[in-house]
Amino acid sequence: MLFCSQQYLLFFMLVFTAYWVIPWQQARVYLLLAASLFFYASWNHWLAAIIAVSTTLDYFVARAIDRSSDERRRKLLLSITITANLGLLCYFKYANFFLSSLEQTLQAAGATVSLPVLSVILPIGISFYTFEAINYAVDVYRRHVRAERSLPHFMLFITFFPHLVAGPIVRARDFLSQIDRPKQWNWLRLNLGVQFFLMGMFKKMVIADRMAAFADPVFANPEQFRTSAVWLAVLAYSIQIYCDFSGYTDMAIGSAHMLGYKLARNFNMPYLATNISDFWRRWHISLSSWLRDYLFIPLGGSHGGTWATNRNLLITMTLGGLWHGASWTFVAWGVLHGLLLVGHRTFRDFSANRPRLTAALQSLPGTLGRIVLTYLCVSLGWVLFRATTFTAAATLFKQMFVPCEGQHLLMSKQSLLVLTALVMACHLLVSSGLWKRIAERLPAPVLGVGYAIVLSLALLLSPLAGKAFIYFQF
Amino acid sequence: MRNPGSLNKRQRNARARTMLSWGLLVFFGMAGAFTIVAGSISTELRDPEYNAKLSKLRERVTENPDRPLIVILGSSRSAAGMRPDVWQNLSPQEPSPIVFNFAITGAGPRQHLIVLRRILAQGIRPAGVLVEVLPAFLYQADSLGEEASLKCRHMLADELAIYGHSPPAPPPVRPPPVRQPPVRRRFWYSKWLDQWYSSRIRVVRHYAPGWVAGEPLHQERWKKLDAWGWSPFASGAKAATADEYRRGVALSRREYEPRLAHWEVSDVADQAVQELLKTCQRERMSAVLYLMPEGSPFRELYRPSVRTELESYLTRVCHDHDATLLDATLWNTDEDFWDGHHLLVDGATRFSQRLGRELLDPFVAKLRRSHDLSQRPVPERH
Repeated sequence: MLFCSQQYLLFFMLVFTAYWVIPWQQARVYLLLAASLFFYASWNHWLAAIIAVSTTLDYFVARAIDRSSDERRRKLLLSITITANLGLLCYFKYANFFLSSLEQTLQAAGATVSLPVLSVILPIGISFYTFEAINYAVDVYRRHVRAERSLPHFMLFITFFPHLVAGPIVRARDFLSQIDRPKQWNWLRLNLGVQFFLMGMFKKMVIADRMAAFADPVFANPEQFRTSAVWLAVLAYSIQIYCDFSGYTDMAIGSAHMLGYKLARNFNMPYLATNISDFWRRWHISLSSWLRDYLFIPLGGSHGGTWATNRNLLITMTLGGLWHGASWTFVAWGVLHGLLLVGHRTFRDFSANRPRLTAALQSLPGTLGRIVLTYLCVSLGWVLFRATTFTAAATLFKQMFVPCEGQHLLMSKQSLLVLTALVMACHLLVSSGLWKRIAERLPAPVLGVGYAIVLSLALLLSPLAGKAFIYFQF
Repeated sequence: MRNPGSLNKRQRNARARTMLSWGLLVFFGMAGAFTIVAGSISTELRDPEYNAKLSKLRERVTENPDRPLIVILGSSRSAAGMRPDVWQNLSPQEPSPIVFNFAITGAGPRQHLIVLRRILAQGIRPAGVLVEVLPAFLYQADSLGEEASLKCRHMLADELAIYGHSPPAPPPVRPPPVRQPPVRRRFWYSKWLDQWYSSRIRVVRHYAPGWVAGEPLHQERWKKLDAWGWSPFASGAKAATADEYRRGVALSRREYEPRLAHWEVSDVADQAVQELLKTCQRERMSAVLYLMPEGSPFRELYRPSVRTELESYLTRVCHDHDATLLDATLWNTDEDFWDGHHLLVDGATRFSQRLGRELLDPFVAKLRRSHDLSQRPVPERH
């Protein structure tokens, strides 16, 4: 049930109506929990059972951690819950990857082995809810939050349908308190939710799915396309993945707002980042902050000198890459970003004592140059992210950097250029604060007409074949 | 306009309410206006396949004012399998009739009737009508049969009566590929809620073609219509690879097996066939019912008794309404098909040539006996 499908709209309207008609807070929680399990079960009934069982286990273990004052027992319980969650994740997501990698390694070493392939399906969103369960257990262990007393409340925290399958990764301290808070009907909140939802719908249906039509044929057969077409396809993919994922997140945040819940912000115009560290503060913020709080800092963070910091960065980003998918290309993508972060730290230290260089970088041309360079690095990284094999990635890089003839893009470039300009214009309008000032001064009916136009355009310009959200596979 | 920052909570709530109300009002207003335009004014938007064929038919009739007209009513099988271009000037005697392929994707007897009524309402009266009988569409229970492929947004409200009451279907052997809600509900849903969305590709292609280039056209083969209403199947492929054929046959099986599992002639289908033949008689149009060729994998889907029952039924209705019956089921070999029942270009050519010899020549002779073919068969406008 995709957010931009008719089934979801019908489902959401029913849930929304029932939710605000029911006057009792606790009944609303049960309604949302039932709706969330139904939403998840619409993909696969058995996977809904798995999430229900693992969530129940997490609930009881966290309660035990909270009650216990014996540090060794608390650590043991924390290890159990983390191992159980990571075990589920590894079994469903990485078992075949590890087995096939082991088999290839053994075969390369001369052994004649054939390891089995497990017949498992990947539970949608498992990477997201596993991380939520882990951050809850760790926060309880650290006594940052108390263990939730109500099982339905805890289950709703994990399974709340707007964030269940592709984030944002929510924190217990942000979400659990919202469940307890009585909700009042609020037009402002509804309006905000509608704004987010429409924006996400437009990003997904109009921009991301159209950009996929440019990028997919080139990524499928890069050797057939000329250099300019491959560069345009990489540009298209960079816009696609941003609009796809941030579009999903906007719809998730919008849906949650309409039900009186606030989810964490996940994007902040990442392609305006002036360096790679800045990019990770703006891209998939809930994941990067999770990696920082639950991996980078426990590894030692930046307190152990340059070498240790760089090592921690590389480990964090490599595992962050692996989190995205069971493939060595994702690992390489993570390593690349780790190296870019290390490179950026080194350059930052280098330029710190050079005021003229710093001033040049801080000037308008310098800032624009840094934005373009960051965007280029990120986009080259997307080639690794999108390619299914290293051979495919190498072919794409070759087509990009060795001028060659071949086909043009299969579609007219008109919509690619217009939509790229639109994305840039929106970034500039919002980042300069101009849009806020304009929106505040526009009469309400004009903004209402704007909603209608955005919705109509989203429906009108969506391609014939809609695509699933990219991050659903993670 | 006051800055919202200076508004109190009640005023900000009111502003948000106004925005949402205007948004809803304008969105549904625009969707309603589009529905009215597409539903009542522009046939191109409402039913593009019908409209494209009608335009071609009008051109041919205008170019050949003195030649009688024979119209083919059928499904995608006929749309791809009947090549009127091989029949032009088929008769040595003048005036030779023009034959036009007005087959519509997914059409069965009820849509044939709708198309015939629309053509007559446009003031075009053929001298003869060739009507395909797709056996699966004679079984019209619930959402099986013709209704499953019906695009309600193509219809007008007064045509809905033809789809009024289909009996419930028995439990299928295998679930049908598409479970559809009842046609009435779909009709009103498509008219009032879905028209904007489901028509989007056509609207954008019309007004901003650069934005839809590359969209698949497999559902819109009629975009490649020739002058006589024929359009090739599978983008004009000469042959299907073994894999394409296997997948095509599997798809056909999935689509038709549930429909043929409980096959019988439904009352609603029988009524449509009878009404269509009565209309032909009333308008003095000679009629032929024909069965299109089918490959062996498709023929295996029929129970042994179906052929007998079908032949018996068709013989009876043809006798009752003075129509001719032609069974071409075995005319082509399996290599001529894309998927066991849609003819490829060469198969369509071979089939059409044989049809010209075995059906059209005698049919034209029959028309000559029963009509004065020297007069143009385009009577009064309705």
